[in-house]
Amino acid sequence: MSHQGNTVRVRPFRFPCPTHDERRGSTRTRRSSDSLAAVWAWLFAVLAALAGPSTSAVAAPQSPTDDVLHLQRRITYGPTATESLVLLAGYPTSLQTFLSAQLGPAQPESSALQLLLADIQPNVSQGEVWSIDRLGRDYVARALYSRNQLREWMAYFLFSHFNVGYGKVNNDLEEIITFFSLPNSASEDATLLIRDNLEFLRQNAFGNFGTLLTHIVKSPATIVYLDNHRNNAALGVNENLAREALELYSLGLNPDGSPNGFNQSTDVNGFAHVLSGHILNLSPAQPHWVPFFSGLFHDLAPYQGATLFASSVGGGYTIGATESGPAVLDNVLAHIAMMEETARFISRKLYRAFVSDVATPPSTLIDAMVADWMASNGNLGVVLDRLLHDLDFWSTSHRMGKVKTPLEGLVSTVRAFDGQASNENQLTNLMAELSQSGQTLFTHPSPDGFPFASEEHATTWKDLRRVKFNRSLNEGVASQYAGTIYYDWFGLLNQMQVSPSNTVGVAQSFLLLQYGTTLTNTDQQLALSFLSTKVDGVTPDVGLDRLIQTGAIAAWNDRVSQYAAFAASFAQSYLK
Amino acid sequence: MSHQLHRRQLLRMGGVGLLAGAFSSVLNRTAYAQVIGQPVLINFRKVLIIFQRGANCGLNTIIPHGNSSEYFGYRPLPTLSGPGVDNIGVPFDPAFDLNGFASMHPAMAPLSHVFNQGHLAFLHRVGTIDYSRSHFEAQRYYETLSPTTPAGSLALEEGWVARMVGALPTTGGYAGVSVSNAFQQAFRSTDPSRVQWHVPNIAAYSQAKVKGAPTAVEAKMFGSAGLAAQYGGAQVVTETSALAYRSGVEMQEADAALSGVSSAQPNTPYPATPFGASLRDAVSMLTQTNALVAGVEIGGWDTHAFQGGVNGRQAELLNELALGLRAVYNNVMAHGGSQDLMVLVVTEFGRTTPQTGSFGTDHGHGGVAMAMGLRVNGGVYNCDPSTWLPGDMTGPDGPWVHHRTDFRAVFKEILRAYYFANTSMIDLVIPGWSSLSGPTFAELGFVKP
Repeated sequence: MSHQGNTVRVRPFRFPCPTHDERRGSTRTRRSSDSLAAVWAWLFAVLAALAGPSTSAVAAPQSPTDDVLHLQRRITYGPTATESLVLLAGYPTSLQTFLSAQLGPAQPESSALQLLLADIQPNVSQGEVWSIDRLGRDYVARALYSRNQLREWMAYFLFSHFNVGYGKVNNDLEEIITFFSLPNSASEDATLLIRDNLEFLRQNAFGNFGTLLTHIVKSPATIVYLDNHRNNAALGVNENLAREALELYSLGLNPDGSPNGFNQSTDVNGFAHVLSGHILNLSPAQPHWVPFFSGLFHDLAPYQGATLFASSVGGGYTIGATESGPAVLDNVLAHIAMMEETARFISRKLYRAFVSDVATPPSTLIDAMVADWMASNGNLGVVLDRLLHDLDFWSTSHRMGKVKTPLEGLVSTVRAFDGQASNENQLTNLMAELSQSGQTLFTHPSPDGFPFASEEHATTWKDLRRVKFNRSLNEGVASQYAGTIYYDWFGLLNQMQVSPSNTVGVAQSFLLLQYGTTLTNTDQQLALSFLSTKVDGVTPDVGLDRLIQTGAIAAWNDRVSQYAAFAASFAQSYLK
Repeated sequence: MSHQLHRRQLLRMGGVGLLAGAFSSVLNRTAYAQVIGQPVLINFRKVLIIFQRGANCGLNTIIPHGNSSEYFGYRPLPTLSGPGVDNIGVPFDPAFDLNGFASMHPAMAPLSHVFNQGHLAFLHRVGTIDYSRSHFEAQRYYETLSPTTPAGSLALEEGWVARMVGALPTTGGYAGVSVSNAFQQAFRSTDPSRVQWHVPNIAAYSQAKVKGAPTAVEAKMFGSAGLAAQYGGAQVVTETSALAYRSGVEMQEADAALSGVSSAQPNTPYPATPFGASLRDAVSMLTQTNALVAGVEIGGWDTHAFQGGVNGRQAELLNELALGLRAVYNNVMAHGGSQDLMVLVVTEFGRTTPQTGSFGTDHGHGGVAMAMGLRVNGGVYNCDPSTWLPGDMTGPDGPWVHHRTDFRAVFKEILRAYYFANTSMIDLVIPGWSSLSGPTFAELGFVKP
């Protein structure tokens, strides 16, 4: 392998343009540990080549390492050593293989994750039930260990897009339960309804948008959250769901805040009439929370013969002179899902989520995504495929250009060091930290959903929490404490073919795992001096080689844990 | 000299100045200074802003009982004795009459004393030019003070607080602080070198600090000699990267600003709710540090269904808000207390005048804002026989109260009369202000000269 030839890439990486069949048929690349060692040695050569006398930032050339890490940072909850090594070994075709697999059908989860998920499930014999905290643990376990990383990421992203806040649903169910003297538990039922939406989005993350929109708008969780169970046209419509379904779920607002293809008064009110009567079965008879169409609550007469969304570029939906009843909602939602305005709004949102937080994404790419949307019946997988193959996604100018959400920040740190949790108690600290950082899963109160924009997550508070958490890796030393995640430093180093006696190798490999070649020389020197000196930063510390030779394994473990916490605390760890 | 004063002096003169020095090459305060000349804000005067998120129903907060036939036509009196599935009309109660025309919701009884002292102003029919009736758009307008006008132009995404404190050369980053679970846009800066101050509450902040003295190498990493020196220079970094690189300095500054702040429960306790706790901590920061503007929020006002009348959902929230405001008043302002704190309560819009079929109200337009402080001319504005005419309960564009005062006029009056801001400063905080004219942009006169 030629070292020099591969260290500097002058052109951005570009996939061969794949067909759908090629993507579906691909399998993962496997390499022997010999070639892994070779790759690793080569990586060090890359680092060495980048190292120079300058103390200013390295203007990192595009490198295979950075290409690999970029893809992992953006379509997964962060790189793991195992995955990075596989992707590097097969670079560049491995990237295509990986992306295709991630966009493809769900792969079976590892037995380790299945065991963890089983532990999180409520133990009915002990009277446990589903709660919103438990659902949060269930999701975080998948974020940490799922093989279907992009699918999981999209499930949460789409959940936030079609947000349902637990608090409101819980309160409203409680009211109904009290009113009808039902035996149900509001908190359990609210959680189950939210879980239903999440599971549907997980299974259809790369499906047709119309399917998602229809399912979510008609779901019991959404109906309760946005008051449609009280949308009674006979007494006067309730516009809550109608407004948010247009403004947040589908057509959206333009970057200047103006409505995108709909009128805020007549179209919202007309759509509220379409939605009227789509309530829940509130009778004391079982089951309680199923969608139910009430003809008494439904009245479309004021809009019969009228055209909704008349200002749309592709034309509106004209309600027939005698059209009425439950099927009208399906027809209107199908129409909305294929309106160009919807395609454009969702494409812009995906661009911001995956590429860059700009207000107005490049129009050529958005146009191409919209064309794909129209040609594929609104298939999110096809649109995502376009986005993730675009040169703009791979541009070096966007790398490390987004601030991680608290969830992404915490999970990516654990993944970077192969942190292991085998029972739900080990997730306790992680969940508490997530709440403290302002991201208690599935409880975002307002319908605009949990924000993914960088500026929302670059505040004093979130920075402080991130450093606090990253440094808590240090506390996981003995790793037997309840509530902490287990880190097997020997195993991790062995996987990377780095000797535990090699102080410089340990120092550099931990940085590479997280930052690729994006750290400055100053930072790398700082890291090395942390691992090789005592508290004063000057006196040489006992080397890792000496600790290994004398069998001081506990001391070695302490030292490496402290170093991992330090290495995880560089500000770049907030970025993806 | 008290210890506290000494600390504050240090912060203003030393700690913060040091920070400004470290970042001087990337700060664009110079640019601001060129725009506005010498800033004239009186920067020891403080503002506490409370955002009622979800759109509080103004018609049931300050009720125009002077026009009761219309009011009860839209909102009939309840038919049941308790709260629940019932009409939302609030009966007239002479005990809460404010000016012979408007009356206060009974749940706000804790504020009667403050109103009678003349230190509480209710500003009725305040609204944005936004007719989208979208929560998120209208909230954005309130937080940026930059609604899209004319349609099609891109709004400034920077918060008004960030723009205001950014213009002050002496206050440093820690001048505007969002005391809330979610970071509020009013405090968001688009200048990546400026810290976005976000403190959910003081106890959590001190608990979150990294324990133990840093090692020499860690000090380099987190200290101003480390990250700031490495990344704060002329080196070109992407905006987002710069946001993250600051964190070492932020932590030092947070520590310096907050370590001595007491959040002990004062004489008049704050409500034992998340809102009460953040209100208490915001007041502590404003009174004990050099923070200039603090923002807290209280949610749950989006009463599309079962809003309630005298009792019920909205009443409970109004009571929580009133108890919080009374605590601020008693602890800080009463009995010759501080004249240098102004509390402003805003909500994104009001709600429809007729109740819906589900005994709630949908999104409307003009709402009620409130101002409290010793420099406030107490009273009721835009809700008296001379300003509230028959038919005013619906507007030209729908069944809701139209706005009579543009929301920016409220902020402009605070800037001009409370902070003594000059025109260029006002234009900086409220983009395009001096090109606006017409009766809706007139000051109400609620700030004492």
